[in-house]
Amino acid sequence: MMWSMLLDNINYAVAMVLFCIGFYTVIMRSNLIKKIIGLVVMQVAVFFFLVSLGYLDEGVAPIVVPGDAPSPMVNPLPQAMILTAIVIAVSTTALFLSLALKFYSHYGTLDIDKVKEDKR
Amino acid sequence: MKKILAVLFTCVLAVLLLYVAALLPPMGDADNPTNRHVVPRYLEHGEQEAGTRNIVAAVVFNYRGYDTMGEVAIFSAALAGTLAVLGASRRKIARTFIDQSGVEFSFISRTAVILLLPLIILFSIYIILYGIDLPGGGFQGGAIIGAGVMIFTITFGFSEAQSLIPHHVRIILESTAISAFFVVGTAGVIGGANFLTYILPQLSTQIQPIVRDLMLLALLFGVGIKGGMVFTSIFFALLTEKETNDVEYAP
Amino acid sequence: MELAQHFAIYAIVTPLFVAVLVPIITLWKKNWGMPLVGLALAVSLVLSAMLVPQVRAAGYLSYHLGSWEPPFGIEIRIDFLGIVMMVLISAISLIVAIYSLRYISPKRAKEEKTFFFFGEEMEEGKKPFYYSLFLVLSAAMLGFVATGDIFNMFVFFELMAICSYALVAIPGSRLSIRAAIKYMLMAVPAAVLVLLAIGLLYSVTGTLNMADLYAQIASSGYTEVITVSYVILIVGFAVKAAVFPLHMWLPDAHSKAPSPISALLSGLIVKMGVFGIIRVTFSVYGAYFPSPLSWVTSILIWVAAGAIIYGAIMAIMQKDFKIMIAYSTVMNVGYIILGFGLADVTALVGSTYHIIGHALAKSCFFLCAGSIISQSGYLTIDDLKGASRRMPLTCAAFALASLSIVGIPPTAGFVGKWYLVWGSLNTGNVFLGAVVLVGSILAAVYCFRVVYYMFFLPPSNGAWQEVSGEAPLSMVVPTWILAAGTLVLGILSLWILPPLREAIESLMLLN
Repeated sequence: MMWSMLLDNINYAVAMVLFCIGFYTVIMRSNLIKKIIGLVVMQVAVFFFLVSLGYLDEGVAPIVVPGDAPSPMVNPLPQAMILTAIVIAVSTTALFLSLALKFYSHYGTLDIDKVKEDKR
Repeated sequence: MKKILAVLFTCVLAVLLLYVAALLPPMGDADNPTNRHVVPRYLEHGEQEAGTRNIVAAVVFNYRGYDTMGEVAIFSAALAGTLAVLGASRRKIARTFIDQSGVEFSFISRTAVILLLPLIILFSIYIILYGIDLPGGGFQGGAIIGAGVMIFTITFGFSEAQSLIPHHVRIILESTAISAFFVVGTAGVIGGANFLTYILPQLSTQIQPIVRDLMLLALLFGVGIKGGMVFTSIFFALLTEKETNDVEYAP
Repeated sequence: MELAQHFAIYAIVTPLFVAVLVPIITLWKKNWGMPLVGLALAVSLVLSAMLVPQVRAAGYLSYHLGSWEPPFGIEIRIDFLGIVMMVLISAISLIVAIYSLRYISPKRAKEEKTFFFFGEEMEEGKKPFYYSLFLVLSAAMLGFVATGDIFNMFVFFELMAICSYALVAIPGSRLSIRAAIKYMLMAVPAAVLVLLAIGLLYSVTGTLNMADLYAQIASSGYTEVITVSYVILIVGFAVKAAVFPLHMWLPDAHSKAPSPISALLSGLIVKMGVFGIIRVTFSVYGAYFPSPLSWVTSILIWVAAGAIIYGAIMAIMQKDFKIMIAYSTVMNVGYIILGFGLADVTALVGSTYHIIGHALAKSCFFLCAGSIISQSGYLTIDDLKGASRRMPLTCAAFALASLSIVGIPPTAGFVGKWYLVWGSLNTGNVFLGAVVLVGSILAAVYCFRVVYYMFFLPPSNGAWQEVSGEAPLSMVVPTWILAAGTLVLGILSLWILPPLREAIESLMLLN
């Protein structure tokens, strides 16, 4: 029964799996750029989850077309949330990348584990 | 050891999340809480109340405009943060990798870019302005402007690009979004309603829709231009390589 | 009143607006940057303070942005706890901003030795960004505590976070960058977790407004989803609040940031994480307390006890001054979470008062450290021997603030701890009351050791000779205002506690 419920919500399941993949990348990889990629994957997974929330069977895009017979429209609220969240993700990624650049210019490597011993 | 712990933790997290995903209301169902509660009002009355055909734009700029203001603020903060971290200095034209190579792009590339760039800018303005009635909106247009500038910079070099949009112009344009929000919001307050209201009760019903559309346009444009300028500035900052005279900070 | 209802939103938006104007204006006139910052924050402070009687009379303030009634539009909802936090945030931001003026532009005579230490002396080009980020940070914190919509809360949470990442990294030195990266690596996934939780919550309730969510959750059948979303949300906020064991980013970030920023981080931003937990628990998930979610608070109690002991022991073991202060923050966050976990009104009142007292005292600590570093370049505790000979005012302020951290009457820290002990005895947890007291003793060890070194030991050979003297007035005065504040708020507690208690009772009795 659980499996069929899961397959009904296959979008959600895929989003969760992507999230865990991203999370694993952030923890396990020691290269900074790979960590950033992991973060982006996590964020994209959450966006995918949110936008799937708004899906309506046989719904159309939430744009009012004059003259047509009204048909059920997809939920616009998650889309608005995601617009905001994408900008947030882009901003965070930009800042993180600039930090990685600075890190590279200081240490000459992008591997965060290698510089652990550098105590002040 | 750490690897085993990490794998274990991720698996536990995955199982938990999949369990939750299975229990969520079925996707696409019209009887979901999400489709029943708040949203029908947006869909049914959005066009009259907000004056846009694009309901998502109505939600983003009108019903939940405050969130958009916060998002624009995040974008400004990201720009300020990136510039602060990278230490982009204003007056010197920093040497970049593009300018250092010394090899010009081919004639075909350069001509193509010169021909395409105005079209790209035009397209981005179209997307910004038509965000009201078609899919699109502020940030989408801004991203396209940013992409256009990037293409130009890659083909022609940083010095050219920077002389096209010099620093002081960028700084002024980058403040347009928050200023637009502040001005529109205050106009709402002056007009007798709450902050960021578009339908001002003190005006006659004839003028109300016009004022509302003007405000919306101002916001859309502000957000769009700002988006483009911020992308440009971040791109320029990431490109410049200062000869770091990193002082060895003594313990 | 006609105009007064708009005070709240303008307290939030004014610093934001001024923040984008500062880079433009500093292009033109460089010296106007700092006064503008002070002006914007002063406006916020005045507006927030003027709202206090209104909130006190009406119980809470509700303001509909865009004139759309909730849940269709975003609502600003400020109760007494919220307005207290707003006043606290704007006051401390203003004080630290005044301190920053001289801190990042120290006036040094030509022949004086200049010390480069973590690059806390900032390059000229970075200063406008510092001002902008500072203002946006304050605006974000104000917006975070004032909002009544959970997605809006997330937006301001991220805004706060991004400003703090940038401000930690602003010195640009090796250690600052590494500290900022470590901070981001923990805090960004936490923010994504918060967004995921909000998504889960939305999927079963269909609304984003907190009061509406409360009603929907109370009558919803999706118990498991709501429970999981709660746990994820708490974990996300707990990383920001540096609750042990998710505190790993804190010692590095708070010690390598410029000192005024450390003051803001430890004094305010960490409290925002805790405030998020409290707000979400009572205003959104209130119907699920005490059951079926009380196991979460039970776990939190033991986590908090661990934080207190661990933070105190690590603080005692430190050699670096700022890292010691950072671990003290870990310990104090433990206190606040302890009060929250006990789920008793008295304990929660103690927590809240501890938020106020610790914000003042910890900011004072970091400003003292900043003054010492700025004048002498000394970073370790051993170097502080004999500091009072040259910098008596700063050391005295530190001593006064440490009374609050230890919890000696009549400081604000004492009031907080007293209520925490009382609350734990109320709920029958004598062991936890003992933990609070043991924590005080350990805090006395690390605080009074520093005071002893400063006042009662002679300087090591040759140290402190080249130090010219006390820090400039615009740095000493803010430090003293904060230190005196701990004393003043201890005495003022007689007036502040009754309405606070009422507010928390109404907050918790919503279930």
